[in-house]
Amino acid sequence: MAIDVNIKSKLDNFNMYISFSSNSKRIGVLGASGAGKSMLLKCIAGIYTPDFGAISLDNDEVFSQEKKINVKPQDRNVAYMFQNYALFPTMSVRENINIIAKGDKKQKEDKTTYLLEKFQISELASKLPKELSGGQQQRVALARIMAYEPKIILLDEPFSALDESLKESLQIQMEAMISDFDGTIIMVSHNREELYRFSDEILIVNDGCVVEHGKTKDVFKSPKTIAGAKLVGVDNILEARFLDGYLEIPEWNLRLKSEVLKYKTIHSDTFEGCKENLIVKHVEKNKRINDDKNAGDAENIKNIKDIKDIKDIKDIKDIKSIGIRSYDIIPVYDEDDCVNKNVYEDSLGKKISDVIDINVVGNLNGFVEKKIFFTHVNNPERQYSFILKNNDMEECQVPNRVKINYEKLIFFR
Amino acid sequence: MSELLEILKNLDWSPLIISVKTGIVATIISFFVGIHLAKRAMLYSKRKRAFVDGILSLPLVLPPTVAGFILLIIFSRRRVIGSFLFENFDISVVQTWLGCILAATVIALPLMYQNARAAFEQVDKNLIYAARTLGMSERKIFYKVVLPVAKPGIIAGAILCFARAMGEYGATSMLAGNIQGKTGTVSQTIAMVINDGDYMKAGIWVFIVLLISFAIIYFVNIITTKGKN
Repeated sequence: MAIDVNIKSKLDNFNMYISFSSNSKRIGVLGASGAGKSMLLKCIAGIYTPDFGAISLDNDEVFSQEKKINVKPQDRNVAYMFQNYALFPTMSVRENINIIAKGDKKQKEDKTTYLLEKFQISELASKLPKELSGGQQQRVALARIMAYEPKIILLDEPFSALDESLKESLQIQMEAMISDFDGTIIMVSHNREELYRFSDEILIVNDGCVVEHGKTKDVFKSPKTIAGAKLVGVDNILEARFLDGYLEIPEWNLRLKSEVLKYKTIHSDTFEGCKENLIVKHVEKNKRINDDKNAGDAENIKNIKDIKDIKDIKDIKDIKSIGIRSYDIIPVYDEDDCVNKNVYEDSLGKKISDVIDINVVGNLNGFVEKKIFFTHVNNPERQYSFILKNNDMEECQVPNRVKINYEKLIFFR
Repeated sequence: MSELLEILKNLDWSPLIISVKTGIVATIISFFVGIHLAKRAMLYSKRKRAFVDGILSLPLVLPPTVAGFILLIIFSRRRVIGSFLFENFDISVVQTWLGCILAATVIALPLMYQNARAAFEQVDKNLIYAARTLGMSERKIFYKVVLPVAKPGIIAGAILCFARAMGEYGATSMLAGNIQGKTGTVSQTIAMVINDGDYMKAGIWVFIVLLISFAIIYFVNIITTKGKN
């Protein structure tokens, strides 16, 4: 079903401007904590009313500030699963589900029994929520939502409240439990792995604005903005400039020949989110945006950058930054041939460059896979990272250089 | 000792009966009205709610004698409302048991209202939001979700309400007077017998009141801690 959201709102710490349309059944929303993701869900559910804009679910307009439409949450058919599950504390598991189930007494009972079995919580039927573990509460909350038979399910950080060791198994369990749900599910999280696994389409929100939107695999492979890149795991972002036929990366003393760089993909931007752009004064209820007093606000809102405005990089000269994932930086251990290599000659033909003069921060021992930080002599304050993939460091070798593969570089204007 | 027993045998228990009856009726009225008002207040905007809170808290802040005086002015048969009530419905407020109830209710209602408001405020908002997104009507949410969760606070409020209503003195004295057998409450009786110098009798009544008050506080504590667990 189609979801159409176009809303602007002034929140306590920042402004929110979210605009997107999607037909996907599994939508993920990624962003740092407090970036406005939960607010978006609350607006869709009808728990929170945005200051301006409109929301349509399945072609029904459930909210429109201009037309003064604001459908109650009870009538939107949108179920919301809270981080703390919000099970009714004075009712047993069975009662929690039964009170939401639809139909006459018999139908409700049958539905409840069916769901108790489906979610494997039958033994817990007469327990109170406070007697259940986190994972059990989550199953009850899901069963309760299924009892309502909504068209859309909103999951607000469903795994954040759980123990690390349980997360993976519960994610798999949840996948099984919602696999036959025919409607749309929107999941919000600050954890990119969860969303990579779960969503077909992903939105990335930073400081209240959408910075990326597209098919999950595409967004993770080629993020269009620096803010988006950071959130999908491109931890190393460096300045770059084009000079005399080379792309220079001053922070690492690298010069890459432009012919070697086949950057077909890239249309990227330094767009960080809404923080500076949007100034929406809080509007009292029932004030329309066309009133004189609010005309200035209307102008400001029109000037907000939208990711649809981001243009392609046409020319190597437009590149202002490059990004590379920690996974794509490879440490080099043998010390023999790391003296005075002429890096420029080396880059001819080979799509790999060595970054020399690095210093590793901290202790390298004892991990199977760990993010290792390093600095460069040019600037000891700035840290970059690579992933140490296995623990074959018996002799405590410390790499003093790393390799980067050009094909893994992401370019930004 | 025998003097004590003698006094107890001949004691006129009507003050206790009147106080308890007044307390019960005032509490019942305050309970339903207070909860209803607190429920409505939950849905008001911030400003409106503050206004309603202010008005309903007034009797708690005013000296009871002042509250009593205001009630006297309103309900005296020589004034508009009082004479209206008397002429059309044969209702007399001043110096009647009805006056006792009225005075006690006016003082106790704000207490119930505040307790109910606090109990409702403490209910996790997410429970209400979740219930809404799962299709529950506001009415169902109130009776099935909010009220059960707020129960300990509300019961504690009702008990305190009863204590306050039973012990009311200032407003009662003003409005209903101390007519033995009709409007003579325990508090007024204590004041009267001390005035007469009968410290023994006063002591007995005070002891009775202390016993009841302690029992009330004890039960409030038990109920509220049970709720917390």
